Amino acid sequence: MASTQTKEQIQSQDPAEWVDLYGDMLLRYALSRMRDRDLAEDLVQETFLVAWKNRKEFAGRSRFSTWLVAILRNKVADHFRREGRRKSSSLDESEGEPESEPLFSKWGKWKRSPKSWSASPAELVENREFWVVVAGCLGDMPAHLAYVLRLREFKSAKTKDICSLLEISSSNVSVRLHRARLLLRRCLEEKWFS
Amino acid sequence: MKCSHATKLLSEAEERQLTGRERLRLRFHVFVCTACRRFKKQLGLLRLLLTEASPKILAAVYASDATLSASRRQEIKALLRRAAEES
Ligand SMILES: [Zn+2]
Repeated sequence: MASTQTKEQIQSQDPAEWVDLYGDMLLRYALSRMRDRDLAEDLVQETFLVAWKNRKEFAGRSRFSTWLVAILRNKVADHFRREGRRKSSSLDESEGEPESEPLFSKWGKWKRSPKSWSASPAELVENREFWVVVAGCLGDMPAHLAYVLRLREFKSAKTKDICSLLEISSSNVSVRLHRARLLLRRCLEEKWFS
Repeated sequence: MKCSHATKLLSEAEERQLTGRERLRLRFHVFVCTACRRFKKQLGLLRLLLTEASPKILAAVYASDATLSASRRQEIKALLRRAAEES
């Protein structure tokens, strides 16, 4: 398997071969973090170019695929950092909802009260269809919100680590998480628990 | 306390320790408000599910069979070959 190639093999290889060996794996990684396919392919492309430029730094201590994923992971974080900065300069994140359809009335009351969910967590975890719906809901919300939620809930990242990764304040992180949870909740209620 | 504020605090409680006063007001609101009580329960469920969710399930759901488009594949190879020739 290609993933156990040594440092010497990697460095003498035609880099175009990397694309066949690792391209799909990297694309899947990128797509597990974003929905925009063109963007995911762009980041994979950048990853290969960076890998080529820095190939001497691959020390062979980890697998080459792991090394490539680490580069891609940084590219993904960079992307959301830029994206988030653009979003927060265009609207004040500590205020209100940027959505067309607010969840609360101007008096702060639920517009549509949450319903009572009947659910068995143990069964849901095993239910693949449920996760398809979750993935769809995450894909439908603004990408920078879904990304923060994924870091926090799936990876159990600490808030302070998210702050430094995305270079935003902890109150910014809370606001994004809160919005993401509200949107996920509403979406699941519509698409699963009704 | 408004529902919008109560939900915000319920969510924040997962990130930071609420102050005594916040906790007290929140507890009262949740006691009297069915909607927020449900929200609180749902947050807990989501938290549990998402933490439990094996990343593998999610990876499978997201893009198990995605492949690089042929045109992109060619493009990246061409870029890499050019970079290799230049060095
Ligand atoms: Zn309420």
